Amino acid sequence: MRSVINLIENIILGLVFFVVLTPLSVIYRFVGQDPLQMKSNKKQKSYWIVRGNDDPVVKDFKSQFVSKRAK
Amino acid sequence: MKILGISAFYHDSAAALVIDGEIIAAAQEERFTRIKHDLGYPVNAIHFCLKYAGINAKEIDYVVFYDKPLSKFERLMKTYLAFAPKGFASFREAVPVWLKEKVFHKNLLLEKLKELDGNVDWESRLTFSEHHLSHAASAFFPSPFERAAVLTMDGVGEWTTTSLAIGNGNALTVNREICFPHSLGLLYSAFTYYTGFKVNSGEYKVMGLAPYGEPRYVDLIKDHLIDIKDDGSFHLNMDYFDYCTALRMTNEKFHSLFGAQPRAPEVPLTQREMDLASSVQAVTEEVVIKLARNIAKETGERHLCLAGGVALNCVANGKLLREKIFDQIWIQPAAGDAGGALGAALAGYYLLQGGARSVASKGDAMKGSYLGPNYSQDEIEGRLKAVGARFKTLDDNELIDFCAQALSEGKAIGWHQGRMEFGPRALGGRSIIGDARSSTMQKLLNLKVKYRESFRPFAPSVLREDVADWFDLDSDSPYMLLVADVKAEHRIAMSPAEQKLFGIDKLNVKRSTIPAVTHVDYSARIQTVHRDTNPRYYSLISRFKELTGCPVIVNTSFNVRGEPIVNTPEDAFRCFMGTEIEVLVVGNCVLMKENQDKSLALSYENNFELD
Repeated sequence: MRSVINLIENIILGLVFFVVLTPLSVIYRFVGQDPLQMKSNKKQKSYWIVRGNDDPVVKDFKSQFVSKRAK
Repeated sequence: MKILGISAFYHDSAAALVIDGEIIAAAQEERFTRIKHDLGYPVNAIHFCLKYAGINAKEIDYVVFYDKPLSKFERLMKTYLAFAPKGFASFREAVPVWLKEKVFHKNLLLEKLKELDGNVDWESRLTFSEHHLSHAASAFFPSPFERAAVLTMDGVGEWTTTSLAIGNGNALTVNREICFPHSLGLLYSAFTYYTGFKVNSGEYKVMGLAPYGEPRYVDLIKDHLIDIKDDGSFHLNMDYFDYCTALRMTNEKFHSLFGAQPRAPEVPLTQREMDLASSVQAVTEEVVIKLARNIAKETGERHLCLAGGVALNCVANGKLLREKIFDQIWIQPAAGDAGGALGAALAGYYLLQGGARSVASKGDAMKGSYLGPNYSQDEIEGRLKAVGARFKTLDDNELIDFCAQALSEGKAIGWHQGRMEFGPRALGGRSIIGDARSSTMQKLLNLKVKYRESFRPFAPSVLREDVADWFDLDSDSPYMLLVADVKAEHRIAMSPAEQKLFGIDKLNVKRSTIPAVTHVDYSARIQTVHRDTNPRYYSLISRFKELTGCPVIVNTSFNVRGEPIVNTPEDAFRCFMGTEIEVLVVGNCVLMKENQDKSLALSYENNFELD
């Protein structure tokens, strides 16, 4: 039984990863998206990212997500 | 206003209770479950906090979890998106776990809170801080500063790996950050992995190994792995790291850059690992000092607070202090994720509730970090009797005299007193102590108590008033988070032949009048002892000084390798019986090894896991 579940999980996750995620990833990169800022820029003066608003946290203590950030 | 802070589910779960801004209690779950770095929901730590304060669960106004669980999932997904088709093995392992439980952390928390009291609407009281905001809050609010710059650095939280916040009164604002995968903590962990130690706990060993090495790989690291700007901000080249997509830290490109595969844990250490450790330590120090210098310049703040796992790098902290960039530096003793529970509770009180903050007139608000369980004398006697211990009870003066005398005779003492420490270090509440002047103490403690051979010397506890006479330091270091050198007049020069010794043999050379706490580069990881936070420990060292002229003793955590630090008197007795500690002192009870029933001994010797 365990091995059957394992097999089904493998198939589903494989489909999600290779059929959905991978093409998306290719498109993402093609349009120049770089969510992890992996391109380094020797000319850039700083890698600090300024947080979007002055008080980003107080109002969203209820949220399970970090508030919108400036990137 | 009663606020419970919780950190859980990654490593080092903990709970902390803050009432009207005062830190009442805090403890790590591992101390109760006896599972090192326990990451489960901290049910025992929560029960302890409530019991210590004498309150019921329904009196808790807010529960603050230390991070944003769903942002972590978002980060994971975006990371796969950035790397696919690479990363399936990691995806295959992580996603089912997330879908089965991690996405539902909120539900899990609510379910567990219901077990505390089923009649409370916990949904309305449960809130979520941010990982680095929790660290920043734990660094600023208990600090002795009205205003300060706050720098947090660790592996990763949700996205943030490094942040700068400004604290002023009861306000704290995060201004800037550096995000995953660019992380000083993960860079250090990569080298921890590469030199054959366990990530998340072996970093301390890398730091301890560094003084044996030459920083010969610094240029290689800076040319290929990390780009450091003048302001200290940095960017990692992900071509060399595997932590985004695989279950290991470094990849083949990294290994060929440094010319070998990672060391396997059982393979002996060589000069190469020492040089690697020295190099990553030097790069870390460069980044921390550059960050601090720029922060001082841009914010104009005169005080700096630190937290996050990287702030446990006491060697870097000591260098930062000596640069004199800031007038004063304060470091949260529970700088790792356990401290996130405390930071979350403090963030809840000051930021969510706008509670008023008054800065302590003397010292900080951490109460010496003695925030855990304590046991009354009656309770100690009852518990020790129940486990078959044979002891005698002394009054306070006799106890101090007896222990100081035993120390001066070279005996190792298990010292279980007052409240347990919060954070990774034992600070004289759950410590094993010995004579720092003894040239055999280091070996004795390592081989007969800790069952390891360590290339790292033990830490000294020194009276605050005397620290400047023995070390190149004249400020408070109550949490063992600053490293400074033994003063020149206490050093003993090494002969050329001794200089050439390798590893532990070099450590065993008597390099100072307090050899048990002196590293090969003459540095020491200092704990200053203060009368107002730990009067009994202070009296002991004072008495030892009267006997010997030396205000310094050895302090190491009361545990054996692979086990969390002891919590209860029973834990202490078990550890005492399982090792070759000669004397155990719990409260006013004194236990001698030769008087105990030998059949109660439990052998630890072959019973541990490598870190």
